[in-house]
Amino acid sequence: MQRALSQVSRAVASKTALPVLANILLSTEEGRLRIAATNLEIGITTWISAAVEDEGKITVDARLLAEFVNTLPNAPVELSVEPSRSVLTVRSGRDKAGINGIDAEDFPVIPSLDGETDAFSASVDPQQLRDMIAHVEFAAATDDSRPVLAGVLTRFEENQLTLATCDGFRLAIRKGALSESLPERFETIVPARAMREMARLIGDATEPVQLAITQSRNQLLARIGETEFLSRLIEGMFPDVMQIVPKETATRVEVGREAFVNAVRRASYFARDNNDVVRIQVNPGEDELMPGTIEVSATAAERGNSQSFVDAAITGAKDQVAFNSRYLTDVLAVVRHGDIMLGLNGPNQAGMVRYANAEPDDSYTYVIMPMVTSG
Amino acid sequence: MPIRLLDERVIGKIAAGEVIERPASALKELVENSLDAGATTISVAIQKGGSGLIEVVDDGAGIPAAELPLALQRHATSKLTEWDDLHRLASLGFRGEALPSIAAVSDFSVRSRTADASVGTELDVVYGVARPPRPVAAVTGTRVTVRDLFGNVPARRRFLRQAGTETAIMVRNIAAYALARPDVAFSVTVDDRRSFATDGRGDEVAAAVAIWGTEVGPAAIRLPELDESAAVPGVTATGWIGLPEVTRSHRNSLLFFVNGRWVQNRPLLFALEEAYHSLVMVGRHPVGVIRIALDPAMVDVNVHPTKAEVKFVDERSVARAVSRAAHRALSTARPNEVPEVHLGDTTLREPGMENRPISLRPSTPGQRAWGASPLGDGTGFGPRPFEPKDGAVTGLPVPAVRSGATVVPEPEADPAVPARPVPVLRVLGQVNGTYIIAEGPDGMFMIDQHAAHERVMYERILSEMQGRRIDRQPFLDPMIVELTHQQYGAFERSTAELEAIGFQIDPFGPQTVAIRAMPAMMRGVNIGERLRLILDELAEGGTGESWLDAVAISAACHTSIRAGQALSLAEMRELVAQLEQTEQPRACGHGRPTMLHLSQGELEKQFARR
Ligand SMILES: Nc1ncnc2c1ncn2[C@@H]1O[C@H](COP(=O)(O)OP(=O)(O)O)[C@@H](O)[C@H]1O
Ligand SMILES: [Mg+2]
Repeated sequence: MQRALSQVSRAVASKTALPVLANILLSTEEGRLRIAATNLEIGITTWISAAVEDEGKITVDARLLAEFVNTLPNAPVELSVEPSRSVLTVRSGRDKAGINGIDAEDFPVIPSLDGETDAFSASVDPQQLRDMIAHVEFAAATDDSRPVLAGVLTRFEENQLTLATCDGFRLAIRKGALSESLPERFETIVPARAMREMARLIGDATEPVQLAITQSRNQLLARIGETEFLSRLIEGMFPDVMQIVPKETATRVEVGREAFVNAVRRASYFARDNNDVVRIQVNPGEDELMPGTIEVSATAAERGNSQSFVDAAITGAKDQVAFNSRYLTDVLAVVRHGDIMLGLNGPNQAGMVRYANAEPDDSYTYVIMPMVTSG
Repeated sequence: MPIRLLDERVIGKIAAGEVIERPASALKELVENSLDAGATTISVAIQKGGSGLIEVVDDGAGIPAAELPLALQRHATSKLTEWDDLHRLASLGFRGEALPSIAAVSDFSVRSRTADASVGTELDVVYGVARPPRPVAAVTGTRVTVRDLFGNVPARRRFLRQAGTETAIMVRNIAAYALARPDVAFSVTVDDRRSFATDGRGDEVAAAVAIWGTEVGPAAIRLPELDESAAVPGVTATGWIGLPEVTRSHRNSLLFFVNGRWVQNRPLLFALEEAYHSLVMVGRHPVGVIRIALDPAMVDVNVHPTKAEVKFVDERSVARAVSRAAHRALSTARPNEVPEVHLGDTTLREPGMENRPISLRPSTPGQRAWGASPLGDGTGFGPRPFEPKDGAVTGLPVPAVRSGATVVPEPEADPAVPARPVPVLRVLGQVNGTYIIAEGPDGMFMIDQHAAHERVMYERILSEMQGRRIDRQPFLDPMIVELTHQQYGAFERSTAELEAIGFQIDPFGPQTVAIRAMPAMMRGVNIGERLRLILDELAEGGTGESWLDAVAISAACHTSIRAGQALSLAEMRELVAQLEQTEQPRACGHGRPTMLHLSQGELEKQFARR
């Protein structure tokens, strides 16, 4: 019960004009206890096994209930509701609490996955989905200039799931396999914040995650084990990200992840006071046998400057480009294995980051617009 | 020099015109005559807006009895004989037509006695008709009484404004003379009530305090002597200007004197106000008295006989001298001081007073001393914190600002506390998502997060522009923004300036633009929305010394952290650290204050700890 409460409580509204949204719904359902919360952005429902003596339901303050339950010894808890008064009585051993609640009828209806009425449904490996979300969520917009950009484009096509984000200056596209091939293509935009919650709920689950779109086509539902996650969707047209991805790159750099990450991180400390500008200078090797180097540097007028050289396999011409260091450190934090492919197209064209040895090679694509500096 | 009739040729060359067009012009002429006569005390009485009575009494040299009738003839003057003299004019009056002009339109009387005469002489002229002079008992000096001005010229009377307005103009004129000549004791009574009186001890700030109120005293900063590299050859600007905290909604308390003559000159005003740019709120004006001295041949005071206008041979260098002196004065006088909040004497512990609002006013330690001084009699005679200086118009004692606090001690005023720069602050929290509360070495500081960030952004834009190294972040895909008609107009007018600060925006269909790049420093804001706000402000006219500056100020403002935005402790610390590093941390680009200070002393006082 503790675990269930802490899981569900992430969907409890923290500041709300609607008091019932600060509550958690407890109801008996087919011999189990259903625990649910929603802030109208997302909703989380979970079921735990219980010995149901009488049917009943109520909503109570989520924090109070969780705090009380958390301090109880690890023993069965008895919950009861007096139908006439909206009070939940919690009993465990020699401890007892009466928590004043709000009638369950006031609680918003949280739709549940039922397989038949859903407009669409697909299943995907949980760890793969979590990893996919991690690869894209950070590149979603955090401001509200264009609402669609605060979301994750989520596309189901045949046996492939594609997630994409774009904040105007960079974009991230991650492709992954679906458990089975789908008869029709489906595309929607899920708020990046909801995607992050979903990834957190997945945790280390092993059972496939069932994804579905509600009949009304305005909510995403995900079943993760005994828990269901619900999110509203963002309406609108997502930019055509595929078209923004550079078709080819003039300079292709393959570099060890670790060395590159450290070089960028060192530079980023100096870049902080200079609009986060990090410069990358690509110097191809003299011949086939000589490795090339990339120089990662940053200057801060007041603090000083840093320069790091990293060996790299380079094809193409010498090149120099400036990036916002955050855009690099963000992506380097999620690319956790193997070598990195850096595709550059000069100081004014979008550059690209991929896994060097990925199969297929576009399973992950991260595109960044360089900065134009005049110093 | 005895009074003589002017040569006809000279008469012709003098700018003619109606000398006396309103009561204020008559009064002006009379006061100038008194000053020319070397008076050290000048008393002015005004009734009914000047139409009832204008009387000027001085203790000057007086007019010899024999010359009195001549003084009332047109173009009789003791001050000028040749045209060449006009170019080297040192005295104020020179046309020899004031007295006869006034006497022609009023019930006029002059009584005068020179020091070596045993009696005085009085001469009455009723609407131009002179009575024979007669001997009277009188003290040395001259008294001119003008009654029923324009009584015989109804058309002119009708032309006058309300008595109150005419009086205001007159009082303002006399105030200007009193400020120009702190060595002369002026007193002005209006309808038998004292308007102001200066002490004539030669202290120019004391004179200003007597006229404009006590708050200007401690706010006055002396214009420094410019070193050789900065000095403008042939022009010196002396006097004082007020700290940016003391402002007015009008420019009446900002006076310029050129070779002792009060002038109104827009280029000089602008040169001075530019120095306050971004320190003073839009629509507010600083106070000050600026004296410009230059070779009389380099200035033409004869542009108009009654208007205080001048023409400079080299206007730019005069403006430059003013601007440099003001910049120097402002940057050296407590450059980083934070306005201090005083909670007033509202004793919250007094029974029944619990709900009385506390009034906050930005202040300075010096002001505290002045504010506490006993000025209750309304004479305007404030405390005299400065030692009189041999009667001459000299500068302020240095340091001007502190002296008020030392001479008029007040229990909690601690003259030993040095000027406060922005001290090292420990951020405590945020109030209302808008104000950062921090603890400093002496009490509490309240920082307006938006104004503070705006200052930081503004200086960053300026420094990037100065270094010609604007970093831009282009978009992968241009951001399309629809604008209103006004916004689009402002965009068209500001394309080059927006580009200069790091935007790249192209027209994109009717009233629509495509943002292709934004200034890198503005990362993280909804740039489309902010661009609209910037353009809105620019459409309204913007603020700034140039259009580029207006664009930069507006961009800094609208891309800054807003009021109402919750900040983490780390973000607040970062912001405060950035603010500490700015050059003018006390005000945002629009001139609003960034921080207020509640001193330890004030806290203790309010909590009745002492
Ligand atoms: N208050 C005064 N004290 C002494 N002399 C005066 C005074 N007022 C006027 N006079 C004398 O009368 C003359 C005429 O005055 P006015 O008509 O104002 O002409 P102006 O001041 O141009 O000479 C002056 O030159 C001066 O000699
Ligand atoms: Mg005169």
